[in-house]
Amino acid sequence: MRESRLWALHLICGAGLLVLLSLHMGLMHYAGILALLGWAREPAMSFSSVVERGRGAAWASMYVLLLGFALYHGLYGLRGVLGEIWGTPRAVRFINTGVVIFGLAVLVYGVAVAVQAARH
Amino acid sequence: MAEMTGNPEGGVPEGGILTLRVARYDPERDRAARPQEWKVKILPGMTVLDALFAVKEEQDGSLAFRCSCRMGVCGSCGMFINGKPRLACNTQVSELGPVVEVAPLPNHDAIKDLVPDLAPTFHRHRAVLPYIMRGDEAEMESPTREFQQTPEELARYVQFTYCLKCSLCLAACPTVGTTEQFLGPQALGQVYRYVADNRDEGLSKRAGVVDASHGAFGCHLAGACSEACPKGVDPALAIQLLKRSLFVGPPHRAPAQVVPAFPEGYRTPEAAERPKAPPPSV
Repeated sequence: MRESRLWALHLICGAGLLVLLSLHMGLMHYAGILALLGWAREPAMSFSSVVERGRGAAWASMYVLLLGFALYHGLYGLRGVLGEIWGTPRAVRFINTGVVIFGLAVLVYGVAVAVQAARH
Repeated sequence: MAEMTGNPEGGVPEGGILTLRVARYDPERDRAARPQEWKVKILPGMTVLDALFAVKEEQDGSLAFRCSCRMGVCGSCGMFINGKPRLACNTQVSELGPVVEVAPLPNHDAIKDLVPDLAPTFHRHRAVLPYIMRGDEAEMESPTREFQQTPEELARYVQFTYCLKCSLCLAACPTVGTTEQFLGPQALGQVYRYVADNRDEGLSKRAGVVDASHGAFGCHLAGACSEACPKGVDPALAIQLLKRSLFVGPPHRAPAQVVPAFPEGYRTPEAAERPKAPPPSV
């Protein structure tokens, strides 16, 4: 795939991360602020909240999206750094393959965990 | 190479004495560059290149440097002068202070003394196909008429045509310094020069070279290339515009048309009124 498309995906994932991380930070760590805004819920880390989030398909999808965005964004950056250190065509091929295999493995594992949690 | 330190605190008046400290390197004798100093009397309007010529003619004929036009047009005399890549012919010694330190361009191999090896620069330049490419090859190879272009269409790219190929931008670029495969600001800037030209239709062919991690997307946008450019070409801007072009296509919507040919023997009314040249007298 051309670099411009990979780079566009990198930017899209960055924007997606910004949205999802804002949601995460708001719900998990700034419950006080949400309460001030009138969106008070149960404590995010209480047992019932964790179980509820784990079972919901929407939450599972969000976790998977967050994982995908973070993996792509981070691994694209890592690939860029490694490619600048070892820039020979052979090294670049090796780095690209390694990054794709690692990313897919972590993504598959993460999706499996999210799906497993949603089933229980 | 050790960082050269300049004296930014104003220059030396005419008639004063300038210390010229040059990084000497002879591949047959030296393993690394060694500094050598000369004293030069400052003359009115003296440039660094003039000072180097004064040394070569009066003190040490073995000093090697490259130059051609001596007026900031050919780009041959790029050097690292008081810590910045500059054209020696374009740099007044009076602006530099009593000590002027001159070294060959960074990010380049030195052939001898101040002569950099520019072969990689021209290799990169050649790699990006720096010429107009059209679909109608017959017209390109044997043009019948000129291609139509408005002043506005010219304005889109004319700034980028001023590139001298002096390699100062490559000497200033930190990515070129760390990543040998990076195409560099000169070549990438010239890609945009052709992409933005509405006579050109070669973006898809060039994309194979520049739409890569060591192409336009290898640029870290340090902006040092634009600062170093003696002609105000702004390669950093060109690279960013090139990235956009790789996403959304060239800035022009349609390629320039060939101006329709006038009928055989046609003359404009103004041309008909113009007086004819007198017959030759010799």
